[in-house]
Amino acid sequence: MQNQRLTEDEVQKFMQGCEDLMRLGNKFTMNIRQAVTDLKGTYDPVLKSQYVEKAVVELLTRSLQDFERKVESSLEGIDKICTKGGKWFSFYLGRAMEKEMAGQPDLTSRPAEIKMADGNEPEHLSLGSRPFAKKAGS
Amino acid sequence: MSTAQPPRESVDQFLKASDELMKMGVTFSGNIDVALDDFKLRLEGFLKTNFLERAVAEMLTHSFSEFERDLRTNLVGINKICTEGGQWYAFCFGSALGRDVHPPASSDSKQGSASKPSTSQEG
Repeated sequence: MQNQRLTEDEVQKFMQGCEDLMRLGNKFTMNIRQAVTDLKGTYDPVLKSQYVEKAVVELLTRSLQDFERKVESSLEGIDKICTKGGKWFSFYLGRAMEKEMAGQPDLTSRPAEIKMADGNEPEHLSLGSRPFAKKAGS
Repeated sequence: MSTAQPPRESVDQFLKASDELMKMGVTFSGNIDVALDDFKLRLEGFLKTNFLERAVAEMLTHSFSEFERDLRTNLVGINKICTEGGQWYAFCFGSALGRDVHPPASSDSKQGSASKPSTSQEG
């Protein structure tokens, strides 16, 4: 494909792939959250039992909370990349293609077909009468 | 299609931002990896002491092993999205604009996975 422009179908296919990929990213973060919940489901009852020394319970509880906080913070970042980032990918690629077809080399303004969610996020994109990408990553 | 192209500066700027976003994803994933290693280190310290019943220690060890396997599998997936996915995006975006863009390295197998992301592992 090198040195060749992508056809509209190829771009459409790629944008669908891009959206699927971002959804997959969200799925992976959900899996990690579920794994943490499952781990806590095992650890919490054990830590509440009399089989573990009180001092160990406190230390282990603190370690687990610290770990959970760090994981959650990073997962939120990954989630944002996969949702907002995915939308912007579709937005820019669709825009580039649109300008290519229209012969207007301007990536700085938003075409009218693009609906912006919450005022600043691309939500829906169409190329002419053809929908180009649905809500990516959502 | 027209031969007119968006300003090179705009395209470069967007590709750079896209690259940075993907690198940020890899960093987040790395942070989780480090947090897991830290927690594992502390946990192993506790499990080796005699402050826990042996059966309890074994159960916790088993649970943690499963958790670690699940978490690392999903982190590998996230990393792939942020590395290979990002490279393919840059390639397709550039190609759509008719620019001379090189496809990601070792392309044949990766090309298949990039065009069919839903077939990747889902943890």
